[in-house]
Amino acid sequence: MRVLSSGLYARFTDHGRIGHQHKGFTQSGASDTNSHNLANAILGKALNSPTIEILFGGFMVTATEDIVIAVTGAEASIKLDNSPQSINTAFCVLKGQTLEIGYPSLGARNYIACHKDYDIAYFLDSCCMVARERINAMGQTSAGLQFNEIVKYRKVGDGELSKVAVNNICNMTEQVVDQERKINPLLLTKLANEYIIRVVLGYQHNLFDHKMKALFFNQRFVVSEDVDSMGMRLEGKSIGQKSVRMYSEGIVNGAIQITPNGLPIIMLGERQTIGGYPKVGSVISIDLPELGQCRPGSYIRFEECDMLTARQLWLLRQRGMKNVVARNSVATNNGVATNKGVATNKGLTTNTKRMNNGE
Amino acid sequence: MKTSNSIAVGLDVLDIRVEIASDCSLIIYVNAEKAGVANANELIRQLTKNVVDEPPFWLREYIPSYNSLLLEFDLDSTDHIAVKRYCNELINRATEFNKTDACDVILDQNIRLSAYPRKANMHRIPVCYELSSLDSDLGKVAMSKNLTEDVIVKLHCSVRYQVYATGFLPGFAYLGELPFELSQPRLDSPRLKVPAGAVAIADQQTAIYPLESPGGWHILGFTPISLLSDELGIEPLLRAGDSVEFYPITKAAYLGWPAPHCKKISLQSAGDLTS
Repeated sequence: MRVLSSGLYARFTDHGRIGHQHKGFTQSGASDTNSHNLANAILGKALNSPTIEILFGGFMVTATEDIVIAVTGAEASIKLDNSPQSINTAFCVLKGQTLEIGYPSLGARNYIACHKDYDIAYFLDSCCMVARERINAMGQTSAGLQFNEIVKYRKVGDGELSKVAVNNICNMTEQVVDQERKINPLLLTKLANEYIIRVVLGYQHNLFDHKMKALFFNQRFVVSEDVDSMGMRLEGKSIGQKSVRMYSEGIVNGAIQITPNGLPIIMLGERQTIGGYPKVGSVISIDLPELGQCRPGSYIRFEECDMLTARQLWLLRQRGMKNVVARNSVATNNGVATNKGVATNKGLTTNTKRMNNGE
Repeated sequence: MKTSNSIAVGLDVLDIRVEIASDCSLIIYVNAEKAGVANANELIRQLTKNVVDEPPFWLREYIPSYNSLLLEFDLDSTDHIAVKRYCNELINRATEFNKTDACDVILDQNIRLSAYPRKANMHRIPVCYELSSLDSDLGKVAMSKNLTEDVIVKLHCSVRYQVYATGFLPGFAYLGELPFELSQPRLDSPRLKVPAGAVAIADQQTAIYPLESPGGWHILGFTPISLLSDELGIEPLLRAGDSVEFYPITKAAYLGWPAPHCKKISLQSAGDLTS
């Protein structure tokens, strides 16, 4: 596809770099991992396959060959040569057709998965580029997709959809699509003006007394202008701060730091690997994607959650997502050889191997 | 024999805690106030080594730091209860000398660390302290400490530093402890751009910026060597447990230093400085 407009910022993304944080490499990855996964699942692809992440719409591409794509994420208009398309479904983009993603009315980011594998560079088993690292070993830049850039696809191989299958999808009527591919609402990232974000208490939470915790859990914070892939600064009433001398320590995705002014910063995908602010706890895994759909001015309320509930919720969604992958890789299976089994396990095994070499 | 190889670190089991970090990670803390950060770090390194030697199947990430070790697990494969059990076993294993040697237990209730054979490296790193005109705080540090620049350089080179933690940026290593005379807080307002190779100090620590980045440390000099040692720029030169010594080189030596084998990191700063 050829990029006609990349909007504010559009980039390739996946689950990020796993297993390199002890060397100082941040994780990165899709801001709304759930929508990223869903886009791949709808096409029956491995969940870690790269997608295009679009911040605040304004994205336009022309297809250079026939492809099947799925768009997920924010509530935005999706137009194919000016005819509206539904979100969260697979549809065909024929050679020469123009796809346009508009400014979202709710949420912030959209994801485009393609049945073909984008031909892009990898670093540390991920296509994510981190601006501040400036490592261009693979010829990558962190500038994201640029005007007139041509996105190529990997040659026919695993994960390739045959011409027959492309035609099958193109010939499906809307109804068939709806029936066969309806997505369980539990698998969608919630889009709202006000989010309830669940938190497990952890790290230095004992430093924060009852009054501070009450202030933390019983107010509506506002997402400030100061938000990017590294972190999200919230505004609201200060919960107070105790001066504490502590050593820098590992920071997880979703860790909530309380800065000296008593306000939270939620650490996100591109956070630094270690840091020394006290933390009250962390956002649970299943609620992290919603942070990727927050925009400046969105409201956030925190709610306490326990570890086992957090895991149950996560497992439910993962299972649902795997079902979607399975269903859709069968539905479009006229020639689709998805490598989902291999790819989902791959991360873990290579990971372990690397850990043996590391340190 | 085990005893002769072990070091008492002034801690007991109660000084090691396992806390929740998130729904998919736990963090092990060693009480550094009690044992001193060097001993706490020694124990963390031993725990880390045990994890790395036999990584559990659920392990996604591990981040050792000064006195803590963060372990992230795969939520699909296990839960925090099992991981907590693993952490407790890990701690017991690293501190088992306490139990095996009855004498020690009577003499002191301290945790004893085995002097485990590790491949810790000793690095001698050349630093040019003479590029003070640009981007260097050497003059200011000297002034605020009421010492000459030469004394500052001598002090900075007088210590064998330990790598306590790596992180923040790829290849960034936190080295300690800085001679007390040099210790001072971070800059009031951080620089937006610290050039790659800058050798800087803050609090009780010193470090080298592997890449150009924002930073609030006081820059004393610049090193011509690359901190990501392999061809791909993935493997850091300095690892936790390594020791580091700095030695001064002249401006001519700095500029004439052979290009680092790691191509990605352009020594842009060197070019800038000549002009």
